[in-house]
Amino acid sequence: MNNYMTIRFKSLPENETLARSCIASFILPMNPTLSELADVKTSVSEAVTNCVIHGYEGKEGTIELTAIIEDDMLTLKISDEGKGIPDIEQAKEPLYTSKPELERSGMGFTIMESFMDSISIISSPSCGTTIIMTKRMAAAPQVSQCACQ
Amino acid sequence: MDYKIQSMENILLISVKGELDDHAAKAVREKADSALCKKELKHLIFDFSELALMDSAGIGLIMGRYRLIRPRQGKTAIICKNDSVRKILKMSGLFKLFKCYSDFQEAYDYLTKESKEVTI
Repeated sequence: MNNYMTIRFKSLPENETLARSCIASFILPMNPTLSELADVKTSVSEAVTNCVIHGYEGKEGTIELTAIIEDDMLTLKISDEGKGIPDIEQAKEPLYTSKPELERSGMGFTIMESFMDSISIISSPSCGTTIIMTKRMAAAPQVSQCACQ
Repeated sequence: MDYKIQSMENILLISVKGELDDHAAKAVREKADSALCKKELKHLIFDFSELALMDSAGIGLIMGRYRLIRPRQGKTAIICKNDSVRKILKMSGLFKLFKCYSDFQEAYDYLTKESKEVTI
């Protein structure tokens, strides 16, 4: 099955729930296991929280979430047009956070890296950040199976 | 997300249901911290038995409250059944500091038993 969607929403903390609900509905046809569903929802939650807290630092902005299904492969792209990440390697380090006063644990990228199969971060100061993640769903219906029926 | 903060004896019980993200953690944090102004509260139980999803904001919530009760020689217990939540707790190294319990009684027994041992 091939499908895609893009949603754009305001950088409000409340919209973290919206992003999780949308992605959960969108990937349902891939027959994700409960664990895969939780992995994808948690990763989206982390990426969108980063846009709200770090990208826009609580200011108004737009977040874009694109999801693409190609057979059993899910690709997610989450972008903001916020302040960008000055040092990507440092941001990826477990327990590193630029905002300890907000009780950020510094585990966001570590969680995304372990819950998804791959992650790439494209960012530069004042040009925003784009996170691209992929995950192969074990139980997704294959094209060949559909042809047999 | 739905949450409840209750104090019993010297224990603060923080129960969270549904999905715990950054937005939800803020609300829980404010209520828990105002309850923790009472200095007689020494121990913490996080009841995550009905938590469906938690992201890294949950780690911040646990660690922040743990830091508040540590000077009171308090202990922390987490009730957790969900595999995904457990995975995040493990990944963050929290199991080096706290244990996971399957229900309230188990967590309560651990906290009260340990504190009795300390007083002897």
